[in-house]
Amino acid sequence: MQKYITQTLLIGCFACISFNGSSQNNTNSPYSMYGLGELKSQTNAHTSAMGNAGIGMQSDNFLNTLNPASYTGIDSLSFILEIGINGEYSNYDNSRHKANTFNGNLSYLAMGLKITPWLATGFGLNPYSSIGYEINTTGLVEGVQLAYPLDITGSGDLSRVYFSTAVRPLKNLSLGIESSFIFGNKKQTQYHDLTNLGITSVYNETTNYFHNFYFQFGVQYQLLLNKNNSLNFGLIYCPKQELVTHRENTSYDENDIIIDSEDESEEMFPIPEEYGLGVTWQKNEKFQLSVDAGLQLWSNESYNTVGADLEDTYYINGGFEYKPTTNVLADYFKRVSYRAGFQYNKSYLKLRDIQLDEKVFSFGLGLPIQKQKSTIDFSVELGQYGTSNKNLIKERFVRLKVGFSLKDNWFVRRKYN
Amino acid sequence: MKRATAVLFILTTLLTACEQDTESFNLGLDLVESKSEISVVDSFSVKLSTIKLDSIPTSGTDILLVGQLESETTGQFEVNGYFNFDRQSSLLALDEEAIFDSITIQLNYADYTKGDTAQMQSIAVFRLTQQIEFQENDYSEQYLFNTTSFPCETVPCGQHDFIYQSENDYIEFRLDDEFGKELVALAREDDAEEFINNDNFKEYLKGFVLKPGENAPQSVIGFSSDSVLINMYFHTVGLETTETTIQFTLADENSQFNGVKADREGTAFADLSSQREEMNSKATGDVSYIQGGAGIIVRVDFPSLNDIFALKDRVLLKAELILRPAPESYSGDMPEALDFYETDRVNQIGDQLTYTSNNAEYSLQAYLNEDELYNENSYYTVDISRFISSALAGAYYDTNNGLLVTVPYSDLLSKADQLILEGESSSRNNPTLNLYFLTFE
Repeated sequence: MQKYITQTLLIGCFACISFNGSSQNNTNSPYSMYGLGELKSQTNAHTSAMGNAGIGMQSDNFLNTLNPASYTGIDSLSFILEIGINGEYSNYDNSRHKANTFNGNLSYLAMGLKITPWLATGFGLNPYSSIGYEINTTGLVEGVQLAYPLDITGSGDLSRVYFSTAVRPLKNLSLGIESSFIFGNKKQTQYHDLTNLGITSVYNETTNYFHNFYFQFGVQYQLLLNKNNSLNFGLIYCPKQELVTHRENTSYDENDIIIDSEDESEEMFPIPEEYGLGVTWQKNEKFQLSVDAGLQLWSNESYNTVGADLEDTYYINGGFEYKPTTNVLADYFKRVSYRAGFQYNKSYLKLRDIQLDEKVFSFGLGLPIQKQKSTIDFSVELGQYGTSNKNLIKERFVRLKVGFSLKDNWFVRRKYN
Repeated sequence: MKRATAVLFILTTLLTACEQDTESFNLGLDLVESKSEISVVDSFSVKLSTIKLDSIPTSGTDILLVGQLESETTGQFEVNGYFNFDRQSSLLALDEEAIFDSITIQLNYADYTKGDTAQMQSIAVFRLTQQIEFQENDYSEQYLFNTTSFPCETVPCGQHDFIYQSENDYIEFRLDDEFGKELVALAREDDAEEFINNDNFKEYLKGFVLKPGENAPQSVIGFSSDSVLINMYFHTVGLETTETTIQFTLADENSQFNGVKADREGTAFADLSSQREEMNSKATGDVSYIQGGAGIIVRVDFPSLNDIFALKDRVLLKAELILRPAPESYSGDMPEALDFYETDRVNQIGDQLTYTSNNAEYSLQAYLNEDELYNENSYYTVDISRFISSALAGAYYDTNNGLLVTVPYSDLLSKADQLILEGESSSRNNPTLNLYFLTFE
């Protein structure tokens, strides 16, 4: 256990450095300009491979972060540590311009712990959203319709730390709550090149800071069909939450001399309520099939987004896992978990009357490490986001996640230390 | 376990090491959520008024103006060039046998005209009946002013009708022969007091004034004053006939000046009198005007500028003043540039607006943007950001202060240029103050 704690701390430090220490942007998507930026996948490599489906799935030897109620599924007196890294290769196409970019970063750190047979907790840290873009456009002087070059760059990250608690008041019923704290900033620099208008060019740097708590409630119910088959139902609900924001605005002239600087609090930034439900069919311990659906009511919100309209989002995710055997002495490749999935979701962004959507195929492997129940999980997601119609941008990506799911018995070990 | 950690380290390092810089994309402005934009506000009112400067010094400007202009809006304008001569002692030494032939005046063009110069021009020269005397300005300097005039004889000493042709460098025409003979007779007296010194001479020959002749058209012509000459022609009969010319040159004391008579009776500007009392364009047919020679200039006020302090989240980048000529101004040449001075409640001329370039100060001017296609949408534009910024610096704008607009000051003294500007109540061509802002969110 001692060894674990040292390693956890080491990895934790490393994680923090990777989260915040990198000056590079964690996305290159122009769509990250809107709202809170590009919302990052909150799931680990295990769940990603299954199309992010699993609201109904119990955690057992991995942490299912889709539903806080799932933590009661962690084996008794077990401790699970997960850490994941993420690499993404993207191709952008807006019919006039194509670009390829690559990003890599640490994507999550999570811990789960079964304290008593009816109580489990979890803790984690992951990116919530990322902002990174560089856009050249033609600005128009409002009022006189004079055109000039306008260059806009954005950067920033929002992160999330969370603490989950799950209880099992009845044999087949679990309840969970996940309390998150979301924090971070997004920064945008606008360069107004006014040379042609006979005005000194100006830079304006706007940094929006966000923070607040965010809650997710979850329920899971297991329906045993027979000895080998069960159906697990899950439900999640996230109440509407508003992020506290404040803004720093600094304007510079072309000689980098500050001509104005302001710092003021702004309207709260709402994250609308979200509902999700899922069902998982489990056969033995070898096969699981999950289907999730959910929605988030963005269209109720009316904060200022220039360029984009907000629409309700919904998603349908499905995925399965197959593990040929649970026998630890079996041939290695029979002990590997094979996973695949599909997700379809409508984005909350509507641009030029097109609501963006995302389609992702995913597959992956869970490789057991030696004889322990620890695994290294790989997931590959092949996806497409947006469209090149109406000169919008179509983003195609290959996302690789590698997750380390380290499991140990929490109290039992100590006796022999 | 150690192996797993090592793999993790290596993978993360590899992944972060091969990150790329952000690619830039071209997107339509409609898609861009820019946190700031540039906007122009033109709703701050610009009030124009007309001011008559009490007097402007028109002596020593090296130009003699003569002519008249008539405007429906601004009334009658007449400018008269005054000058006098020093004595010419060579007349005293002239051979007794020399016979006087004629006396002429020679006027060299200064390449400045205004009005209708295509028609037959007419200029009359009158002898003054009172000596030209300097007046003192507020700084005890000797000047002669546009408002100054001296009486003259009722009958011209010479008159000339001619077609203006700039390729001819000058005009020369005969003055009254009797005047020439009188000069010769005086010079030939044994003790001609008039020729003892310049003072005596000027007491005798008090000077001349150029006036528009009979049937003169609506025009003003400028003559270069340093080359005005009176030529006296003689011939002597001997073995050969010899001809002699004696030339009188302009008095050294620089007493040449242009007197202006502006008669605004019957126009909206009839009440224009004291410099302290401007006339708002609303009271003068929605126009204000600038007139060189007459010392008429325009005052610009920004009565609602204090509203700027109610505007939030913005930085003023540029303040551009646009002045638009009234239709009548299109009938002639418009001044190419205008000068600006700060002013106060009582319309005193303050500091001139300037701009700095490469550490040097230059006068700030509004330039004419000519509508060469339709000749109806020309306008003057000037960047008065520095004035506006410093006027706003105290978080309060003193509306007692304003700007004076004039043709370049040297032209105001030495030319008869006129510009009629549309006032704030004009529906289309009203003056505007364009304030360019960087606005954020």
